[in-house]
Amino acid sequence: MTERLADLMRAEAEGLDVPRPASGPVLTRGRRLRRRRRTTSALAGLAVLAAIGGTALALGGSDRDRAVDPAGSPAPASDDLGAVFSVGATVYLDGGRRSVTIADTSVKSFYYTSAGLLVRQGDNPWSDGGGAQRFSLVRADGTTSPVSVETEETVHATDPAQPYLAYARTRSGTVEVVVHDVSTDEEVAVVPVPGASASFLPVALSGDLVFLGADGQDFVVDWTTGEITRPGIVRGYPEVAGGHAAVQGDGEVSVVDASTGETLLAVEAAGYAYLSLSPDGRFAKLDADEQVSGFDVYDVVAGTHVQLPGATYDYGWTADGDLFRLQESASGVRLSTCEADTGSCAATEPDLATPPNDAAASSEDYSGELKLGGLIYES
Amino acid sequence: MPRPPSDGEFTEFVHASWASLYRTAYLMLGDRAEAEDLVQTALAKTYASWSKVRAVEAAPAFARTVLVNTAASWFRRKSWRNERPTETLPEVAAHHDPSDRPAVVDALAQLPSRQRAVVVLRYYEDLSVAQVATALGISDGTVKSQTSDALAKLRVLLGDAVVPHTLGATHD
Repeated sequence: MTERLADLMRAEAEGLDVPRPASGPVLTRGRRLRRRRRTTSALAGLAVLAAIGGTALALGGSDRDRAVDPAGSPAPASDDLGAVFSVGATVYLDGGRRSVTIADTSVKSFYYTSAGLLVRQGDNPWSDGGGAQRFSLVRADGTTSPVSVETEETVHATDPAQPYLAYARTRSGTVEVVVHDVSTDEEVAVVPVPGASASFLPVALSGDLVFLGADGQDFVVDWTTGEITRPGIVRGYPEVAGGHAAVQGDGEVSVVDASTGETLLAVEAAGYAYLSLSPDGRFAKLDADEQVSGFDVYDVVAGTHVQLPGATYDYGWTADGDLFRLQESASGVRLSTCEADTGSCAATEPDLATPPNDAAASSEDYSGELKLGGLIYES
Repeated sequence: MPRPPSDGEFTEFVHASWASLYRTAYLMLGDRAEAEDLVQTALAKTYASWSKVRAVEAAPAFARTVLVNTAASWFRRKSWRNERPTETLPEVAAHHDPSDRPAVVDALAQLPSRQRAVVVLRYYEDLSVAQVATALGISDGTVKSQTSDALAKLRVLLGDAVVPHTLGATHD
């Protein structure tokens, strides 16, 4: 009957040159989809029934989940953390579905790493003039461990694809770039930077490169080789992520390739304006005087943009480039998570033990202080 | 399943199921890049829905079901339909020289997407009419009529030896 047809199809299938399994991209997309599905589960009606193998399923997804990714490494573990924020010393992961409490008074800021979420903490939520800055690592499974780095008046940086914390310090009159592996809690590199001299030493980390701004002198340090260059592409306070650098020019703000200086995105801007990159460098949000009813979020490579309501500073970034904000709602707190490439947002109402309360900070009660992942909180 | 898979466990599952899923996807879509996209999408959805996989042994069937569902959702998109063959019967003479007959994959490519999926699921995956109907979200009657139409076209393209005249859509 149809045996011949079936045989032909089997022969065709068996003769196919099957591509290499792309387990890395599959894991990356799976994690992203799982997080997005959790976020939208209360809103989306997903129902596709299937019966192969007798299993009933409820499935969903969007075209954003499509597109073949080349075989490669899976996304960093911090991608699994979803929207991250804290209220006082309580750190909320995955849009508030999980929480951990750090052993300190208050969170100062967050850094995404491939080993998990790095928390900067201390006796208060201040970034400047707040005394000692201590660190904890919160892994995707919710376990927490202290990191032995302690600094003061220091700017730090991470690359979400790596387990490293980078910062600069001055020892015996010499500026040093320090790289600390937070997964093993070991200092893995100290690179002296001759010629650098400043009290304020902001850094950015992207791949093997640490970008150092030192009072008008700008250095690029390959911490794996010790090579130091001064290409003049990134100047001042370095904002570099995923190999992209946000720079300001006359009448425009732009994103350039941090290695070559090639302009990837340029946005005309009259007056005050700057672009803030997502942790992975794929997107940038525009903060400009002229934007009154919302702000634009750009896809750096595609050059397209979407508009989101509200103010840029109210939105944090997830490790993989979604934007999120917390707002008061009639029943408590509403968390909106927005896709940076489509502008579509989904809302949930996380159940927080303590709601954010900025007013409490004036009385040195920091238990209501809100911090969002993906914001640097540096002045 | 009591816990989500570790990266290592899921990677192992991807490697074990990849080739089989790719072959089905290719037969259904007829395009290598789209087939790979479909397999990646199906496996990513499987990862995201792992809590619904009731036992490790059920994971391959789960992933295959997701693959078929995903393909079916792609077929429903207008943009997909516009890019695919129409319902027009291919102009191949009934007395076509057998030596010039196209390979089965070329013949499948002449079918509209859903008909192609029906044929692959029924005769490659060996599913029943009811199972195909459920998988593609269509009625049993539609599966039968689509099968009948598809076999008629394949008969023209591949010849009676491959698709005999006696075949209908009643095999269950």
